[in-house]
Order: sequence, then structure tokens, then C-alpha cells
Amino acid sequence: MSALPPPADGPSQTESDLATLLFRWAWVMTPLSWGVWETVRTSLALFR
Amino acid sequence: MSTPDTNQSGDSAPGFLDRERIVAGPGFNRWLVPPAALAIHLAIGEVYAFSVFKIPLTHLIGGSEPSPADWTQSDIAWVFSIAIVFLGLSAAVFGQWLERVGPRKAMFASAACFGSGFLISAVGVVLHQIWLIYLGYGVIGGIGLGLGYISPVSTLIKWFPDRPGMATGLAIMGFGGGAMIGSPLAQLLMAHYRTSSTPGVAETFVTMGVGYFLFMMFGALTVRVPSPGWYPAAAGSTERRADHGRPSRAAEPPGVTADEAIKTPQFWLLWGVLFLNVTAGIGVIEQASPMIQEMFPGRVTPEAAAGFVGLLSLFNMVGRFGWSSLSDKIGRKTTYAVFFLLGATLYALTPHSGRLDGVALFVLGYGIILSMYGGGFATIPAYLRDQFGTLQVGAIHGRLLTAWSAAGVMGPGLVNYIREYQLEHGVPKVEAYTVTMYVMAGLLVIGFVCNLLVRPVDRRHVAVTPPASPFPAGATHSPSPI
Repeated sequence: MSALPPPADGPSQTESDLATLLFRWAWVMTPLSWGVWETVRTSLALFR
Repeated sequence: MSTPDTNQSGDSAPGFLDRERIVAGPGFNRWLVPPAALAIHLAIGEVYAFSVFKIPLTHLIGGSEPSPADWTQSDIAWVFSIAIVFLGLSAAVFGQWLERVGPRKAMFASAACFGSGFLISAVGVVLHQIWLIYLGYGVIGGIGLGLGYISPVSTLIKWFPDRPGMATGLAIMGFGGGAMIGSPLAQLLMAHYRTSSTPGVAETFVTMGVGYFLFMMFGALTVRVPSPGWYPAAAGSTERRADHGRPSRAAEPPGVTADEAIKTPQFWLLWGVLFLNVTAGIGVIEQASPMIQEMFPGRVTPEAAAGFVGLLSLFNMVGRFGWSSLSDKIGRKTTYAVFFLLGATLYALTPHSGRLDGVALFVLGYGIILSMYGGGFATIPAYLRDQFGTLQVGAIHGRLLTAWSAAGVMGPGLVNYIREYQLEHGVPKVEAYTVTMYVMAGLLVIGFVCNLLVRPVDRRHVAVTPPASPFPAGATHSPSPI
């Protein structure tokens, strides 16, 4: 048993896992990347 | 004595949304927090994309042939204005509440308001009652915007005291990026739901309301706050910065309450700094599409002008992260000095690009201006933190955002008024923006002076002086090195 248990709703050790980190960043960066791509795609009309 | 970190509910167990339930434990990786902040800002940034609903909302009754009973574009334009006004007001009013209850409750309230704003607006579309859209998207959604804007900023600034500019830039970058997601998403959904009898706006509002609520709840559920007195142990870089007289661990700014902050000249000088920077930029954003078409007649089509607007959004978003991160290295005052001097120079020079027929030069000039517009939004919370500390930085930031509401009225009004005055006096369209540019350059020079006058806050306003070095290097409260 750990000497310092996490708070009831606090982060567990697994939250420090790289997978968790990557998942959380992917959750927000995926829609943002799509939005940026759509913007760049429509912006190309300016230079046609 | 009650402090923002004190359990307000006494001895009872903290509720699921309470601050006490989200205090991070030892060894928590602080890089897990920015996605929570981004989830909120990417969602509420959708407000910048509201213009995609303008045309469909004016064709609800008549369909392809607008009916006299249909709403006008002016009716619809009020929705955005009301939302921005309520953003500023709610950020100012609820800032201290946020500091007391913590970011999870505030983010949940934001998600509930923003999501239900869409749902109420959908009912307004079905019943064709414009006041329901004003109430839903404008008032209730606007309150969601205000709460959602300040909660992540206040949280991240506490997690990254060694890099406050980068932290706030990361969150506020999301607000700029939200429009880039919201606009194509709304168009996709309307195309999906459109039938011969309806443009699919109500269905799109329902889908976006539910979708954004869930997306924002990801942020509310994963957000964490540092334990009281926490400071990152990996402060080598901050100690190096201390040699250059900039904010550092050793020079952690003292805590000033929101009520006390508004009594200082620093608060009002920074209010002026934000107001003038936003006024100069927001007028251009609002008028970007017609402006480039009128300055380069025959060379820039409406489709290409839409591309220009998209490109400005991109510069706006990148500037939010880039400039605010740079401010950690060169200091907040220097960063704003660059905004004002470079901005004034570019505003004074861009009318000449119209005469030189240089579209690329014009686009580049305005891209840089818009990057500084975004950078101004993103750097101001860190500037506030330097002056007033993190004690109630969310509440102080909320009050400062009233400058945004004021600039939202002033900027577009100024650009449109000067343009119309010029045209009425026989100035050709291609030259109609020249005086506007010079006026904007003048505003930025005033902003430069305001920024120059900012000095450290007088100690008599300080409520709490944090310890200079709360934890030795390598303490258990340090974040993991990722």
C-alpha cells in the first residue's frame, strides 16, 4: 500500500503515463489540426 | 481567514465539482493540464464563426427567396454583439467566484451555459423567435464564454509560474483556433441536415450544443489545480531570467486582490493597453473581406477575400502562442512595446501596398498585425500576473476583459465611420482606408505610452506576499520532467 495515497478524485499514477498524455493532447489537437487544414485549404484561393 | 484555497464548505466532504477534489497529488505531470484548458477554449472560440449562420438564419421562412417575415442580417448581427458583451460582463462578475470554487465548477458551468445556449437557440429557430436566440446564444451562451475564457487561463498561470506567457498563450490560442473548427463544422452539419424546406440550422444548433458540451466536459473532468504553495522544482531557467531583472521564482509577484487591483493605476493602464491593441485589430478583422477587395479591385475575388480572412485567423492564432511565449524571454513590457511600435509602422505603411499593387505585401503586413492582435490577448494575463500575482489573477483578468467589450464596439465603428465619411467626400474606394490606417497607427502610439507608464504595484495594495522559495529543488511537489 502506498504511503501517500492519491486524493479520492485525484490523479492516479497512471495519469502520468505517456499514453494518457498523448491521448489528452490528441483529443484537442486532432480537431484543431483539422480546422487549421480547412483554413489553409480555403486560403489557397487567395494566391490562385 | 478565508482564502481561495480554503474549503468553503467547512467540514463536509467536498463535492465532485469542488476545488478540493481536483488538487493534484505529488509528482503530477503539469503537462496533462493544458489539454483541459484547450478543450474549453477550442469550444468557446466557435463564437468567432457565428457569421456562417448569418445567411441561413435570414432564409428560414422564404427559403431560397427571402420573405419579408424573415430576419434581417442586422437582426442576426446583434446575436454576436450580445454574446461578446456578456462574455466581458460575466468574466468581470464571476471572476472572484471562479477563484473561490475552482476551475472544474466554473468549466462545468461554462459548458452547461454554452451548450444550453445552442439548444435554446434551436428552439428559437424552430419557433422563429429572435429573442430566444438573443437569450440563448447571446446572453446564456455569452455567460458561458466569459466563464470558459477565464477559468483555463487562471488555472494554467498557476501551473506554469516559470512560463506564464507560454501557459496563457497556449489556452488563448485555443480561442483563436476555435473559429477554424467551428466554421467548417457548422457548414458540414448544415449541409448534412439541409432539406428542401429547411437550411438545417436548428438541427445543427442541437448537434453543436450537445457536442460542444461533451467536448468541454473533457476539460472540466481532467483539469487539476496545484496544491497550495506548489512551485515547479525545475526552475533553473527562471533563475537565469532573474539575472535580467524579469519575473522569476525568486521575484514571485506579490498577491493583490481584484478589488484592490482596480484601485491601482497599473490596472487602468493595462486596461488601456488591451483596449487600444484590440481596437486597432478588431476593426480590421470585421472589415477584412471588403477591404482587400476594394484596395485591389479586379485582383481579389470574394473567394480569395474569404481566403484572406482565413489566413488572418491563422496568424491570429499562431500569434497568441508565439508572442506570449516570447514574452517570457523578453518581458511583457518589451513585448507590448514591439506590438505598438511595429503595429503603428505597419498600419502607416500598408496603404502604400495598395498603391504598389502588392497583394502579398498587404497580406503579410496584416498577418503580422493580426498576430500581434492575438498576442495582445494572450500576453495580458501574464502581464497581470507579473503586476498583481496569481492570488486572484482570474478575477482581475475578468475585469480587464471589459476593455475587449468596449473595443468590440469602438473598433468596427471607427473603421466603418471613417470609411463612409471618406466615400461621402469623394475619396476613391481604393484610398478609403488610408486615413483609417493612420488613425489606427495613432491609437497604437497612445497604447505605447500607456505601456511605458506601467510601473510595479505599490506595496500598500499587496494582500499576500508569497514565500520566495517555497520548495527546494527536487521536492515531491515538482512536476515530472516531460
